[in-house]
Amino acid sequence: MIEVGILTEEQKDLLVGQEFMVDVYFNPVQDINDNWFISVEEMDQCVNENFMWVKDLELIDYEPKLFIDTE
Amino acid sequence: MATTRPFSYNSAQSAITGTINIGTLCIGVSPLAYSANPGGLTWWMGPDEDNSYVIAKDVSTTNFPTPVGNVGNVQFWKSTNTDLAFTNLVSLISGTTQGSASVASAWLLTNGYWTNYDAQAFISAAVIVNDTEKTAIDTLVNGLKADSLWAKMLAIYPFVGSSGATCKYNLKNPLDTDAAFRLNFQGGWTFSANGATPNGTTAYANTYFIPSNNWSGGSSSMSAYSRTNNVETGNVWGTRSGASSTLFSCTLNSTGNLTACYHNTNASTSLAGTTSAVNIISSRISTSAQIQGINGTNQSNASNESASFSPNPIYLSAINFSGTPSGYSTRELAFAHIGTGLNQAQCTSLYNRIQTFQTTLNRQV
Repeated sequence: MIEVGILTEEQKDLLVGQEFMVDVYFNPVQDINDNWFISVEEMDQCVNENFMWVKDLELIDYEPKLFIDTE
Repeated sequence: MATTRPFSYNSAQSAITGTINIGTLCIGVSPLAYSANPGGLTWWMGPDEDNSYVIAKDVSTTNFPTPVGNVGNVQFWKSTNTDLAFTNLVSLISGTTQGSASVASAWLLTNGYWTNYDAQAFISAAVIVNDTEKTAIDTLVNGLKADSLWAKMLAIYPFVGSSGATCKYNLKNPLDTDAAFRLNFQGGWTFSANGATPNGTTAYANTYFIPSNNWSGGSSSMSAYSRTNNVETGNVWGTRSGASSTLFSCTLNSTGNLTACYHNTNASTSLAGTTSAVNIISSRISTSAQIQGINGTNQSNASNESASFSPNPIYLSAINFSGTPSGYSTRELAFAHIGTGLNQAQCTSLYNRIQTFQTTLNRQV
C-alpha cells in the first residue's frame, strides 16, 4: 500500500507553489476522503529549509479520488 | 584539448559510414581516417568549438581560400558562445537582421548551413557536464537535422542531467521561461541518469504547450519514451477541456497490452503490444487520419479530428483535465517531443534517432 503525508488545509496553502528541491514544486492533492496530502517523495527529497517540517507529517494509506468524466 | 570535427562538400549526398549529410554538407561523426578521403571526398577540420558557436557551409565551387590554395570546399564562421554574438554573426552572414538566436539558427538550417549552436546552447543552459550526455545531445541534434525533422519539432525533452534543474529544458528553445515550453515539475519526481520517474500520485510536468494556441488542424505530433513495463491507467501525456472532443492523451497498457492515443478527438484505435516499455508516437498529417507508432512500427487509421483543440497546457505523466491534473502515471520517461505532423517514414526516422540517443546513454529499452 502506498503511503502519503496528510496535511491540514493551512499546511496545504503554505506548500502550494513552493519548491521542495530545485525546480520541483510541492503538489498537494486530495484523496477520496478529501484529505490533503503530499507524497513521500516530496517529504523525503525536501531540501527547502522553510518546509523541513513536511518530513514529520503523519503517514496515511493512499486512497485515490475516483476519476469522473463529466461529459 | 580543442574540440573540432571534419566537414566536406558531398554533392551527391552519398551515404558515407560514420558521417551524416545535412543537404550537401557532410559532417564526420565517427573517428575515421579523414586524411584518407573517406567517400572520395576532401575533408577539412572545422574551428575549435570550445566556448564557441561555429557555423559551416559547403562551397560547391571548391575554390575557397585555404592555407594550401584556393581549394576549400567548406567555409567556416565562429563567434563567442553568447546568443548576441551568434545572432549578430548570422545577421552578417544572411544580410538580414535576425531577431533572436533561435530565429538565426532556423535561418541557417533553412539555407543549408550547419551550426553547433542548438546543441551547445542546450548544454550550456542545462549545465550538462557529462561528456557522454553532451555527445548524445550533439548527435541527436545533427541526426534530426539530417532527417529534416528538427524544424518539425516544437519542443524536445531529452531528460538528461539527473535533476529537475536539467531535465526541465526544451532542447529546441532552452530558455527558462514558460513561453519556451520549459517543463515545470510538480509533485513527487525522482531523477536519475535514466530519466525522470513520476510517483503516480502527485507528480506531473506542465509543458505550457497549449494545443489550441500552437497547433493547426491536421498537423501535430507527440512522442514519449517509457522505460517502465507495467499495467496502469495513468496518462503518459494529456490535456482536455470540459468537452471530451478536445481530448489529447496517451495511455500505455491500461487494459492489458493495449495502447490508446486520443489525438484531438474522443475516439481512438488501440495498438497491441507485449510491453509498455516503448517509444510511443502519435501524429496527424490530416484531419481524417492518425498515425500511431510503437518503436518505429507505425500504422495509420481513420480518425476525425475535432474542430477545436484543448485550451489547456499538455501535462506529462498526467492529464490536464480543465486545469486539474488527474490520471497520474508511474512511467519513467527518457524522452518526449511535441511537434507538427509527421508521416509514417518520419515517425520511423524519429524513433531511430531517439533509440540511438538512448543507446549512447545506455538506457535503451
